[in-house]
Amino acid sequence: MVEINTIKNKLKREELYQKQKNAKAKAKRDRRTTLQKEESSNPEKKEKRLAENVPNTLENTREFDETIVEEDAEVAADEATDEFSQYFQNGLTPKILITTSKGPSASVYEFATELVDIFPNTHFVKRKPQFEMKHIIEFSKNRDFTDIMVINEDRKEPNALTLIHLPDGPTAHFKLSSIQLSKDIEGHGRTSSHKPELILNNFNTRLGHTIGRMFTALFPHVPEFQGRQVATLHNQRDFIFFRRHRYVFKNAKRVNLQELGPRFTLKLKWLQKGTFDRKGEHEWMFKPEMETSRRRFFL
Amino acid sequence: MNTDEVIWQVINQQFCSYKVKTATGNFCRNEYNATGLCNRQSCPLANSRYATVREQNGVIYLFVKTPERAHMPAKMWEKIKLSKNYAQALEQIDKELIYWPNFSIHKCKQRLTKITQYLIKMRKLKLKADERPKLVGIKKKIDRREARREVKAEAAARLDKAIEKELLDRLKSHAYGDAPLNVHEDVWKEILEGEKGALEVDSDQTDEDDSQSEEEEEEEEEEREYVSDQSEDEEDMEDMFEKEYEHETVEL
Repeated sequence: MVEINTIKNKLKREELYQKQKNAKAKAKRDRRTTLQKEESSNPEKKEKRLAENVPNTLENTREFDETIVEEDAEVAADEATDEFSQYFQNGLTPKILITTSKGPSASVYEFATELVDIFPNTHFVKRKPQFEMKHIIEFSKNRDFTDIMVINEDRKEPNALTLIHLPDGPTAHFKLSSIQLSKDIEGHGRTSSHKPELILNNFNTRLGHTIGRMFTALFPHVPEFQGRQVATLHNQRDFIFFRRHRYVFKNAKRVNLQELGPRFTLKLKWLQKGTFDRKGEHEWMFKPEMETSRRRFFL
Repeated sequence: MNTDEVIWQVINQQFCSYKVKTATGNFCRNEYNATGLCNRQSCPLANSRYATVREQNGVIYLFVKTPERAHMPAKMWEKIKLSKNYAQALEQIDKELIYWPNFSIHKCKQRLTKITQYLIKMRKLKLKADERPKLVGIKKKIDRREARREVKAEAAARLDKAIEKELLDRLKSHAYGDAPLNVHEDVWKEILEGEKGALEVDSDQTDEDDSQSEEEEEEEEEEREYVSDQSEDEEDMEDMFEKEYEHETVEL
């Protein structure tokens, strides 16, 4: 057979090239149709093929992390006595204070109102410049708040969220990105005042467990299911996606979702034991040099 | 006193390295100058009797110069530590500078006041430093990288599917109770029937012979036959495509 590249006549070269290409496509098509026919008469074969032919993703080729928790008695014992035991064992109702960094702009207030809408039993307090974080923490402790959320602002946009669990910590600091308020989401629904249920996905490592428990402790124990509202915190590759929907079960196989908003993404930057302390030590802190591989995730 | 006059003549009319000339007036950069101005009265070089107040590492000193020590440049200035107490320091100045002109006493006291105030302010700021927000550099490259990865992670998450699956799992595992409020009755009935059916199938398989299961398999195959109809359609479609391809090649 002649090498097509070596043919000098352009028309001839193109013609041959197209023929070759078509033949290749036809062979592929034939292979797939025969496979389809075989599999339609023999569904097990298809199942086997699908089971074997799993594409590689970052998730299923993730680097092994020894802190991934699976039914671990030690971890369970640890968690039974941690800072959240008041919520998980004694059934404490969460009471949240939301405030901002000093001198915030309008967009931060807008985002704060959305946050107030998400979490039941939440109080927004305007930040006055004379109050430092340690004062706010003291005040909130005295007023039986269980959590503080501080929205940080940079260049007139909310850019970080600090979550402080009271009275004994921990404190988590997240980068905040991709904020879409409800009104910006097309076809969004109106929220009702029902307590939402919570879905937490993929918080697998020990650190992820802590973060997951932290979020769980922001929501009341018993949701009001008749509201059919669900808040989701989905962790994928260390990005925590927040979504809120209203759902309806169409039949035994289908659920329809209507988004209520807002959407935003969190990325954990550091975790501190105890309440917020500028000079305190960090239990975990993200550093770029920790990213040794794209397949390494911490949550 | 004579030398003072000579020095001032030189400084004023010829040259002084401490002098800074500006449009509005002349200033002096000498550290020992009590006012910072370049004039006869406040020149620390052209006055053999002079006094000023300076701060060193948070401690305030009174510096005094007398004509008696004018011949020993190394010991020219007498350094007197002033009290931390402002009122006492003022008294100290009064006591030390009995025979000095009123101008010197006044300027020293003014300087003392100013230094005391800035020391207080410095200490306050230092205390507050812990509470000041920490500034963190923006790393554009990392921001850009994370933004890109976030988009990809969101695509990989398939959020709606994950949420739907989780909700159905909860419903089927009776997490909403045996009479859930968030499901329409018909759907709930359907799910309960499905469970019953599954249970029956399970018991059938355990109770009866293999032949039964074989039959079921056959049934399944028959059900799959329905699907093969579609594949024939697709074949037709593909034939059509093929013709199109051929047509294209002719055109070329």
